Amino acid sequence: MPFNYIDINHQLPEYCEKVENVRRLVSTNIDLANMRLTEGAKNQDRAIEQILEAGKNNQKLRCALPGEEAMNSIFPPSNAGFSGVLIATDGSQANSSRHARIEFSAINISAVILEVNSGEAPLIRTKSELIMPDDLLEENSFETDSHVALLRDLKERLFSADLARDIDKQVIILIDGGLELYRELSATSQYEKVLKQYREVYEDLYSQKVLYSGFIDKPGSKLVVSMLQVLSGEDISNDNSTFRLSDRKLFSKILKQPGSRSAIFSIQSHQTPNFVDEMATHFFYINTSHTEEPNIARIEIPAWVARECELVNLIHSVILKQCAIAGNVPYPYLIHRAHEEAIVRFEESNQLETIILNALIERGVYIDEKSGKQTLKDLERRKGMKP
Amino acid sequence: MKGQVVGKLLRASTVGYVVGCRLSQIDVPSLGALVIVPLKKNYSVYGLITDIHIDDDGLVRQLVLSEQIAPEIIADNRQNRNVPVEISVLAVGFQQGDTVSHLLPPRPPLSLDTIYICEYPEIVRFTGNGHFGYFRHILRGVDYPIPEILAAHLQQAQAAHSNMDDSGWLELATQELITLLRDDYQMLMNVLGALADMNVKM
Repeated sequence: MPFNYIDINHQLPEYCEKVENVRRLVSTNIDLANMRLTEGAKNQDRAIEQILEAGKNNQKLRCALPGEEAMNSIFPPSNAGFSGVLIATDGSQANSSRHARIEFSAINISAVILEVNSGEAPLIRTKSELIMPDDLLEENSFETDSHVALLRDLKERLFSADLARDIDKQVIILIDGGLELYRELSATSQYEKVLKQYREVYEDLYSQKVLYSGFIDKPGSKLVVSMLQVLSGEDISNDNSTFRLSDRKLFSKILKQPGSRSAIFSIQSHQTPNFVDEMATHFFYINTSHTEEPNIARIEIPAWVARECELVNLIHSVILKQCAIAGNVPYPYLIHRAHEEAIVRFEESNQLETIILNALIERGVYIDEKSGKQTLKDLERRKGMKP
Repeated sequence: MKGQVVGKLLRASTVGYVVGCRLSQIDVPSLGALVIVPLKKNYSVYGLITDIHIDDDGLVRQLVLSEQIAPEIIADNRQNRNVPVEISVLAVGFQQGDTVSHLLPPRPPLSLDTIYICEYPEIVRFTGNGHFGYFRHILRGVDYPIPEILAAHLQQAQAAHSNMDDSGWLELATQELITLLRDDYQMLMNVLGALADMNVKM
């Protein structure tokens, strides 16, 4: 059934008014946060001490930590030339459902390998993997979708590292999303295993001197804003904080010049013990727009890249060039292409289910029926009705 | 005699069919070219290419907005992305055993049947048979430019006939067109104009 539009219509005026109020509040907060950022930069060493001290006292603190660049710095667009190879990988998955005739999960990873200025079409490589049932059995139930997603992320990184190994030119790997994994309180042994493998992949890339960076589009994080809260002596869990806004909103106001980037920050956190030293995640914000309307993305890089100005400029330049390809949509072309190649659609997942069922039936394995719930959901509907 | 592969059949009816191919195969088909679909033993269907259609998608529409598109990106979109070329073919006849007919085929080809370009001997065999009966299928068309299709076809067929030392075919074909179009002066002028534009030697 569709929404009850009469109900929605009654609620719309209040909703719009509240959106306007929040916008006004955010606008005021941006100005305050910007002022605090400027003040913090005047005595940056003291600010760093303050954040480290707060980190010692609060194990849950997760905020930005400035480095050598002044925290309110703005760097113009980089034009650094790059003539190596770009690799973007993305993955997709078919999740198991207990309502289906057979519970199965599968991962599909695609990589797009582009040799810059070669004039040649990029190479596409795809790897598909059925998740073996014994990997997923836990308390007689299949593991959650989030674990499969975790495996997918790991496989994406492993695949890019494998591909980079065979290339004798400089390689930059573009990753869709962040570089690190957080340690959840409910972390299982499987999770710890994946975390360790993550670290090993990054170490492998470091030893090969393969540059890699994570691209987070329209980020919702508050790492810099939380840092400003700490510097203002506020409790970061305070819901009535002066700084109720995201980093993206703040940097939309700061990085007005298309292509400009912020200072590089590291992350003050006790939740990512596997990402320290050379692998410690650093980040900067970047305005990827080529118009007056800013489009803020967060770029994550490892410490060993963040320390080298030339490498940072290279990443900055490559990201901007990638974001300029798809017309007025400032998103890295290659990451989009990897997504396009990797995505598993509903029909394709159904087709895979049929293949698995046929293979099991051939071996005489007993197959369950679909759940009643799913059977009724799958009944053919009258024309015009949508599920 | 079968020539290069044009593509595989997507959908069909007795009056025509649509063939799909990858963008990288686009060099093979040309407007007005005679094609053949070999079906069961001793049964083939002939057709004439009346349209070559390349669909866009959201990403291509975005890319055209870029000031400059790198050659690698163009190559990616042409070679790697799933952009099918749709080729519309008008059914113009069939071959059953040793007999070539300019009537519509009794059955259309089926999905995924392979379509080939006709080589010169096949073109001469089809166009030299009977008395240009297949022209009426072309002239009946409403959704393609009849004069251009005819001009392209006649140029190709004339080349095939000349290659086989038959220089009189084009004159006979033109006379037949004039006869068929005697009551449609506008179309006749358009057809003759198209023939002149394509430098078909009379």
